Amino acid sequence: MHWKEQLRILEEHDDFDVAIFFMEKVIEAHPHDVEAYLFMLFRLMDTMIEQACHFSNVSITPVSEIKIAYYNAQEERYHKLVKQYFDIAYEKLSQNAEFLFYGAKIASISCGLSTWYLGIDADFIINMMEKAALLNPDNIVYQWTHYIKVGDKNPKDTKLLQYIQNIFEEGSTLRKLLKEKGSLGEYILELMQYWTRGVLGVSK
Amino acid sequence: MARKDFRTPTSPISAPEPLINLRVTPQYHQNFQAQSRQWHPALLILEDPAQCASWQESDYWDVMRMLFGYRLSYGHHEILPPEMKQFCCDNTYIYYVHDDDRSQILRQWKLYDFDNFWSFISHYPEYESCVCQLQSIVVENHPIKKQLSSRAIQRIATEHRAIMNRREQQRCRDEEATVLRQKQQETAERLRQQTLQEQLMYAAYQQQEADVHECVITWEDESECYRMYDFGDTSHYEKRMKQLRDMQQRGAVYTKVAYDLDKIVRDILQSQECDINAYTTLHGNQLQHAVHQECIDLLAQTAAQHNLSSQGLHPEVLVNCIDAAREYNATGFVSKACEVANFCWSALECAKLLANHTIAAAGSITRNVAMYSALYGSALLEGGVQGIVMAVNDMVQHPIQTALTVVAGEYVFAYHLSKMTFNLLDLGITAMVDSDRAKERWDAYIDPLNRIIDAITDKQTTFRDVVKTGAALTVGWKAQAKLLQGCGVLYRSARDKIVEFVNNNPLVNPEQYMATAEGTLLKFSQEAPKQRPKKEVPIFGTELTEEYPQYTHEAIEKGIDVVMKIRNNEHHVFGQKKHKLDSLIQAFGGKEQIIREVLMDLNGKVPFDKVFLYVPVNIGDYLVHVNGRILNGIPMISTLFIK
Repeated sequence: MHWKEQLRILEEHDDFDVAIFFMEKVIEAHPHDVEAYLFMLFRLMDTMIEQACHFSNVSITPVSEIKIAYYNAQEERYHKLVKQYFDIAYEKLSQNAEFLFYGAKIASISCGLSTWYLGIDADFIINMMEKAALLNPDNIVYQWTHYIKVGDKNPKDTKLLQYIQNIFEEGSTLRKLLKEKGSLGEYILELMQYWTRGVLGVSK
Repeated sequence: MARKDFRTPTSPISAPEPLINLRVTPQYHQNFQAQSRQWHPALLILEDPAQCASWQESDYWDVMRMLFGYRLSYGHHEILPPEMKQFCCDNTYIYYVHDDDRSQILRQWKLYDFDNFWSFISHYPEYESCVCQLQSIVVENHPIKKQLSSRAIQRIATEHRAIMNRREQQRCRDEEATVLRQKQQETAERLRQQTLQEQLMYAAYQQQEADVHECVITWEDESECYRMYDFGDTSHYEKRMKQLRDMQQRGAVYTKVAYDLDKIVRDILQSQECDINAYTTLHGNQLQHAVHQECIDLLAQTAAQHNLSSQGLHPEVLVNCIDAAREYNATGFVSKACEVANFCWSALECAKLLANHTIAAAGSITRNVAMYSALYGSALLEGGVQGIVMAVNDMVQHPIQTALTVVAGEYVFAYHLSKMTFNLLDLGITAMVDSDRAKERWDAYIDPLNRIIDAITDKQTTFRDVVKTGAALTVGWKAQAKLLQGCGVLYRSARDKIVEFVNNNPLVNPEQYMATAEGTLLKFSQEAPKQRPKKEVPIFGTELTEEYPQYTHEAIEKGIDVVMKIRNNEHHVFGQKKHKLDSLIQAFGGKEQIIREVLMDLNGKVPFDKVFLYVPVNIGDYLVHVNGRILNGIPMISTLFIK
């Protein structure tokens, strides 16, 4: 079974700590695999920032509070790991569009605290995303950075609306690309759909 | 022989064939092979070599360099020196060209005598424009014409005609291809949209299939009421239930059916600027076809009911609502479609009934009819909030069957009106009985009412524009927009009533206000917060017992900017459904205000030197959990959610 599938199963069972342990092993075995780093970084960041919401609103059990407390207690450990893996990955993959784009989105999970967690600020994150789009302008996912700007200026732009359609169209290239990225892809797709509602001027 | 000799199999560029056969010596051939790989021999004609006797040595070497492929790129037609005779036959010009110098070649007027030259230049991209220019030269008697032989002129005319013919043929082909391509694109787009819409329709239907089946119970009750009080035709309920039974027996069968529209239906659709084509075909299951036919029947009855306006119910309200029902139905939201259609049926029946009452009033009208008509009749038909709320309130207090007494028509109408408007516009009837949600519903009812009405006007452009683009994601909104458009008149009336009440009763206190119909809602709104747990302290959550230094007001504003002005951050905080912030956004009227409230509430309660996680914050009546850290004195939120 591919490691992505194994990771998916662990995540489905809320075994985030085990998933992090597992990804450490995956990175050891595949030290140059960009996806291994991305999946690890997302798992760490998402667990640190979002686990309480997850156990409160998504996976609610009678012991949710205990799980929240457990993962809160792991925050320092995860913080060290996320910084360590981000630094290693950036050193190896700073010219890799895939790492730059998805890495930037992962960094944004920490919201304004990327300086604290990863040592990079908002401008750095934006540069990463723009560089990804420059390195691989044909990738429809990376084009989001461009279309966000288009949406701000002209929300009725035809190409923008076509791009939005890709976000909602089951089986579109964009969706396929994001699907390959597992829960990271799902997270980005949700944010894209949220952005779309803003562009089209519709509330929930 | 020479033609063969010019080819150099080892050369990376295969030289084009010479225009005229050459006779060259082995020595020349050897030199040529060695030097001319990047050069293309074009033409070699030798003529009157005697004239070359006066050439200087430099002239000779010029030609040699030309032959051997140095940087003499364009056509030379100097006469060869005697020394060159060994390389060439008599009566021959030399043209030796580089491929970049096509314009030089094309200006060698004398060469237009040769068929080989024509075939040589015919591969040039500039060929056609060159021939056209030459033709102009000939026609306009340009001085260059003197340099062209009659044979060349004749050839130019022939080639020019051929080019013109080719261009005409190409233009026709291009036009045909453009039309074909446009048709293909349109077909592909239509198919894609159709497929996408069908997929969405299947998904939507599956999503609310259970709701549809639950509707059967309601339909049975409602049709019983219709019969009991002789309110009107119930065949639409029976047809739906029949189709549902069929679907239960043999499953949903999706078919595409064409519908015939009567002239009056077409006319009323046209008068309200509705899309007639949307009614002529439908791809859907058995129930969807039944509902679609209902919409057409409703339109026919609306068109036939001439006295609607005199009863206070404008036809455009009904047509918009019918169109919304059709749109919901076509996109798979069948239970919503049925709800809207029910409203339309009851509105029509009510209008008929009231017309009869008006006639009856001329004779003898009972006291009850007069009373209920005064209470509900006109108010309901104008969409007055009092009528709706009182009717709903009565229905909540009494079972619908018992409430349907003298003026059953108004009750049924009120029932459907309230169901449709309250449910579909998220002002649920449940608010009337669910005290836990009463405050929320009160806010949703009173405060955003203006915004809803404004949105009806403001959003129409956006909706229409987006729909125009064919974005399939808007199908749900399209129906909603139509419904809003239809309900706009009703809601505006409701708002006016509220404003009027407040203006007329500026000093009204809650007790007095509760005595009114709207007051029933206020009563719930006041009770509801008492029942909501004010503060929830999690067992393992951060206890906010300690006191910490406070950050400044400026720091709060910077903290807000971090979330709101950096798009990635705003997407992260507000873009995830699991954060459940939508009701909060609605209650606070904006995201920025929420962040401000959170940061203000956190001030002095969280440490400056470490991350805070899962910290409960009360803003308004909402309990929000926050993660973040104070960084350089600025409070930063990393996530925010409601449990």
